[in-house]
Amino acid sequence: MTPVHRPLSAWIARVSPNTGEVGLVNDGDDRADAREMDYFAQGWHRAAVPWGEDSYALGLVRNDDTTETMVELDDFGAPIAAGASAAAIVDQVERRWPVVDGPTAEMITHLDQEALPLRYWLLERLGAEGEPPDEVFSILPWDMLDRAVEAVGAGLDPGGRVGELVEIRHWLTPAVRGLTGPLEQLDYGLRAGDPDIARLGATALLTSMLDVPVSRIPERSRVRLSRLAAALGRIDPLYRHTSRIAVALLTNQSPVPRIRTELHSSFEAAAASENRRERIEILGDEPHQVRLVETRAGRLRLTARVPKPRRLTGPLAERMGAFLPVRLVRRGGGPETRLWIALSAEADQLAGAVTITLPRGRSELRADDAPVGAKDLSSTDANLLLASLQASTATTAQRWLDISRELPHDHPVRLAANTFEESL
Amino acid sequence: MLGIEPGRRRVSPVRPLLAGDLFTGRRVAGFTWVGPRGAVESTHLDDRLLFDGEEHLSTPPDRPVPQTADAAVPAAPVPPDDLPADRVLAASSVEASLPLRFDALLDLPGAPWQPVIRPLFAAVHATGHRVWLAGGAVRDVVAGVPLRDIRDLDLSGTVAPGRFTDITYQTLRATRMSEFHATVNPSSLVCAVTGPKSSSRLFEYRGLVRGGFRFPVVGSRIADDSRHRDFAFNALLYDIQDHKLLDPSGTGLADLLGENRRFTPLRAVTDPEVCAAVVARAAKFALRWCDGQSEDQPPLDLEPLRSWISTLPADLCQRLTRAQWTGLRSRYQRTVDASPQHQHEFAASLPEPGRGLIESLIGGAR
Repeated sequence: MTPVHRPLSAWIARVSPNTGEVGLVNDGDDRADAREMDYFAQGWHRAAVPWGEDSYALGLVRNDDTTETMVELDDFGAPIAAGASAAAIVDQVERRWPVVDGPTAEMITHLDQEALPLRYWLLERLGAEGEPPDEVFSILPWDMLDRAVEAVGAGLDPGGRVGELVEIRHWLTPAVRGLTGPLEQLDYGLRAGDPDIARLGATALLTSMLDVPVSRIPERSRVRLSRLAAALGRIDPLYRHTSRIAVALLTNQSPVPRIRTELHSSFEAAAASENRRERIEILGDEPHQVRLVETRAGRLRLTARVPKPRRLTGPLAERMGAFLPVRLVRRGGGPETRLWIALSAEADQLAGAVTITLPRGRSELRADDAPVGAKDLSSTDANLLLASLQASTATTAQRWLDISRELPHDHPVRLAANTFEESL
Repeated sequence: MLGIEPGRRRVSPVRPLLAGDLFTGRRVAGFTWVGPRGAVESTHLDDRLLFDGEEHLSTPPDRPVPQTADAAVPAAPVPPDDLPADRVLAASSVEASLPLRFDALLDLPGAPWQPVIRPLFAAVHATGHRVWLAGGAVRDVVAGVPLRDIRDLDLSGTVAPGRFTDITYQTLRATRMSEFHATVNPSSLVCAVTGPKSSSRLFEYRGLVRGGFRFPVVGSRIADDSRHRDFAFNALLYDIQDHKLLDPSGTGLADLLGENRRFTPLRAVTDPEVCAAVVARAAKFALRWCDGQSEDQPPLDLEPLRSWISTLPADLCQRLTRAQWTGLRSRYQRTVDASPQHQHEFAASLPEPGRGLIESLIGGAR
């Protein structure tokens, strides 16, 4: 089969054979993804294109005698530097595309010193079109993550100051998505002295650590991330449960009891045959637990109890209210159901409860995410929040209403609370 | 109701340097951008200052842009003050619900731009610069298109590309969106933000275009910029702070909201590719508004377009290079989603060379 060499970057440009000048981005269609352009469907081969004095760019050359030459561009329209050896490796990878066997993975690791856009686009495309093995992601700039984690960790220390500014941008997203965005938000909040933004970043960062493909992250980076997760758990008791799970996942420690369980809507029938009226399960461990009561009528009551946070003095803002996020993920596809349990003070704990109807078939309940405050919900659809309010017990619903009164009139929690009250 | 105090401008007291100001005794012509050298991010350090009389330069001078007008004579009007008063309209005077609809567009739950767009506007305004909604989003909101049908936002303003990119990235960091791509196209100076694992843009920004140089330049005059847009209804701008609708051509609103939707070309250029692109974009809009056979859409008035096409060189298609055809075809295929029959009917409704151009583009269309 003839190998197909198409652009890796979203942007390409022609190189004039006479002047060497670079033409318009994507021949003037910069909203297009060059890889998807019909023009590159076939008939090209990979090359290192001479560019400037003693330098080369990653390029494609027509197989015929037209001498048409394209260079791949970075996010600012500059040719992506690549010497002959790098272009040869890309060529070899494309000949097997999208399969990355052992020898191919070994070749890819030799690109670790090449231009960042080259490494990014190669792994971005491989990840989108194939299933590359974990080791190829080692060529990404993990040192950026390490330095950013160190900088943030220093800012979280009591009396500490945030360290070096590291802008990770999108460079690690071929391997992990949703991790560096929260980290940079936390960094921004610490650096700007904005505890609200720091809080938003911290909460999202901890939750993101539960879902990242850990095996793609080099060990040294995992160790640093685990230290940061542990530090967040020490700062805020409400983070403790999520923090312990994140540390265990990142360091392969013995598992921590999770708030995660399989549910089946057919419990009703099974229970009837066994003459059971309900099934009770307690997930998590003291003092962060969720109690499930599954009834024969296909209803599920969730009661959450978490530690009551002390008044914080660190760089993270106090939460406005506290909500435990719950996800119900249907097995075999289907929409994910999201719920938030509003938590109110009960002695030395926060507690809240909802009752929901189980979705048909098998589903998994997940409630390990870090508890959020009202500000974390400012971009959430009010209708989603309304469903949580409607599922709440009277005490928990009252907590929603109390929190909503402290919020701006257009905050989704306020909007949901207004709708809820009007329906009473 | 909107929290707006009439008569009070809620902008920074900082006065940025604008095209038309005097700096070191010379009149500022505009700003361009040279791209980061070997770096992977762009900042204000990549912006370049241009003076009147430098139109002959083949490459930008190595002259940075001061961040304020402190050392300058602020001679230029701050836009939209460069427009006649009758082209700056209170949005509520056009349609009472317009301010609410524009606010709702920015705050649309689930819209990809929703978390970042308000902080971005605030961050730009804090520098003293101006930024407005532009292009398709303004046209569609004014025309009553459902907000959920608006896929992305176009912005325009007085900020040079490097500084805008820097402000954008810092705003993305604050809003947990730093994994998004921020790009600058050196051929157009369009700055854009694209989601991770996506080729769809959240928004794109272009400074106020100022022609006359051998490389792309942005200036500070809305009136100049409108002459580089395709149609009057696409040149409308919206000031989200003061809820003002700007109609720089003076006919954009009438063209959009009149009994017939009128296609008034604004391009005063002879470049074959630019002219061809305007014809192709006319096809995109005309077919979008007609192919759905929506009863809500007014009839189209293509007469100004036809008159303009008649002034184009008869050999327009022959003047286009291979690369220009590739780009035009790619844009046409990506944006025109109408039945072949309707495309041919539209082509037949145009005089030459527009008819031949569209027929050539249909060859590769969906």
